[in-house]
Amino acid sequence: MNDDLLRESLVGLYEQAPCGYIFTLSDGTLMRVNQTFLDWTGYARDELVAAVRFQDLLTIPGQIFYENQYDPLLRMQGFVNEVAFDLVRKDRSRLSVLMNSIRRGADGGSGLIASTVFDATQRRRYEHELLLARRRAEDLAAIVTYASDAIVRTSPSGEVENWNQGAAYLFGHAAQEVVGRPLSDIFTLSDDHAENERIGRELSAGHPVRLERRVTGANGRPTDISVGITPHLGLRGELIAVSLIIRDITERVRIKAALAQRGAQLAQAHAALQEAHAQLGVKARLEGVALAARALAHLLGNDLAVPVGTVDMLRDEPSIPPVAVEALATVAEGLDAATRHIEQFQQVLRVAIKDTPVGPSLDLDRSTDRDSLST
Amino acid sequence: MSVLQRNNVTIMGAGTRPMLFAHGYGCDQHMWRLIAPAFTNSHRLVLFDHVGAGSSDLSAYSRTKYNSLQGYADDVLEICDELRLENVVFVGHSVSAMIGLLAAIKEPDRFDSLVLIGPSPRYINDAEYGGGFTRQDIEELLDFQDSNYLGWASNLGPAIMGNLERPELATELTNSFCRTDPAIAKQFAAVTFLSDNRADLPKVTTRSLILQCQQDVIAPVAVGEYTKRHLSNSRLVVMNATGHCPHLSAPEETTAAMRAFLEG
Repeated sequence: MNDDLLRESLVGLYEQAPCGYIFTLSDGTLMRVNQTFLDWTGYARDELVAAVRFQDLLTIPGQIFYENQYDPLLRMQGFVNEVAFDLVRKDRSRLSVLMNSIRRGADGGSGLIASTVFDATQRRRYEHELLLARRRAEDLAAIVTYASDAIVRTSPSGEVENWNQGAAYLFGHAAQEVVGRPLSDIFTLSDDHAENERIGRELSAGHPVRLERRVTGANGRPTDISVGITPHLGLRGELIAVSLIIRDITERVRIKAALAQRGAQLAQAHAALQEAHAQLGVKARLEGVALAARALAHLLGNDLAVPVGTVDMLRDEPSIPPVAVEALATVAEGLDAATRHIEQFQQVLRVAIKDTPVGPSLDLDRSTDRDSLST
Repeated sequence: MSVLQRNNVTIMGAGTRPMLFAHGYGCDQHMWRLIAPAFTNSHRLVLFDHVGAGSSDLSAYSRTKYNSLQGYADDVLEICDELRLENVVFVGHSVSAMIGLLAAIKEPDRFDSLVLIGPSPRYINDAEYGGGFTRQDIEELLDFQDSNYLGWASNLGPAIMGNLERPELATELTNSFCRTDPAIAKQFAAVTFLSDNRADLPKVTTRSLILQCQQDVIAPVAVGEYTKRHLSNSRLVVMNATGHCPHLSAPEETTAAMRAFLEG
């Protein structure tokens, strides 16, 4: 009686096991399946046993995996554990399972393969979510890793926890040299101790800080940087980490300085131009005056020609009384003097105008035309 | 780092004529464990792992180089060159059959003959070509890679490797022989299953043997027949063995077919 009970229980144990329990030939033909497996796949026993290969119940990717990896592994090693498959039920819906298989009986090609099949629906969902979360994290990590800006994370007390490629490039230190060390070993946020403390207080209060600074970059070169510091607070408002985004702005600073210098140069040039313009005005006026004066002098010379000729004529006249002759001589002297003065004046007017540091002026070494000068 | 290290090259056998074994997608040179012994007296056997598989040097992996099968074919030629192999009998399984064809196109004088086990010049169906898979199937395959990565990651097998030369003394192999870096495995799967080498078949002049299994989901009989039609100087043998790895599931039938071919 006990044997019957035991046998029944053993059969029951097998058929009603909380997992699928199947036996296949080496080529995959199903030879024995338990009730649980039938319930899960929706098939009747005679539809499967000696009629179907296990791999025929798999999705296409599963079949490829079966042929390329699962079966070879089983043949070479004799067992395979925790392989993930999707079984295709009779109604074409999918069941996610995990499978353990072991070769029973003779070695080599013959013998049966015993497999337990576990419903892994929940586990696969969880793994899928994990995978998605991991991919998202990897994408974010990739952004941080390959960002051209330096992105650094420190502990609340300032030890470096994370150091991306941008930081390695900017400061010339690889991550493994720096992680665990105080960030202040590489650079400080301020040369002033009080200022550093103030920044620390701001961060602890949860306020981000921005600053610009000159530090020693890779290869010891002075480097201008802009730093954006963000504190990360925990649930109770305590500082749990600090992240810094550091950008090399040396080029920007240099260009700004060059622009300022260029601006100053432009202002200087502008002032010089204005000065020159003003002086040109003076020069033009001077030249204008000289031209007018020359014309006037010429006219004056012409005006004198007739009186001088007339006086000469009269002085040669014999009938002029002696009083008149003296008077005429005086007039002739006066006219000669005037003529001489006009000629001197005309000499002066022939002089060119030159530019001097204090403005346009007469150039006594040079004349504007080639008239010979009478003395 | 030398080519021999990079590809974990193993050399054995008492013969002089070189026989080079190239494993297919999924596992490594241990796949040849059951048929290699049949040729140790007659040939000098060279076995290797593709970069990214088995005990190859993973640091040698390059996403750009191995973005096509030509990258793998170049490695085959480098191994032949390094070992100064001539008149090579190349034995390639699955995707390595195509890799061997590409190598033989590039250096036809290097090879004596090609043994192609379960070859397929293209896996995805075309208007008039039946590769066996739809594009959706292959996309599903590439997604499936991830779930089994997580599965494998928790898999710990005994860490003792089998002895290829004395398989009867072999102890348990670690699961790692069918596990590779998941990112590399994914790219290798993509390169393999998205490949199209139909145009390369007519370029091969080397004498070839196609070993075709029945009920091979990955390289169906129709594909084997297509390959035979477009590969000049080729012979097709449809075996009794089923599945995709006759060198594991039916080693005697496989070695017999190979011997018959090699002896003329």
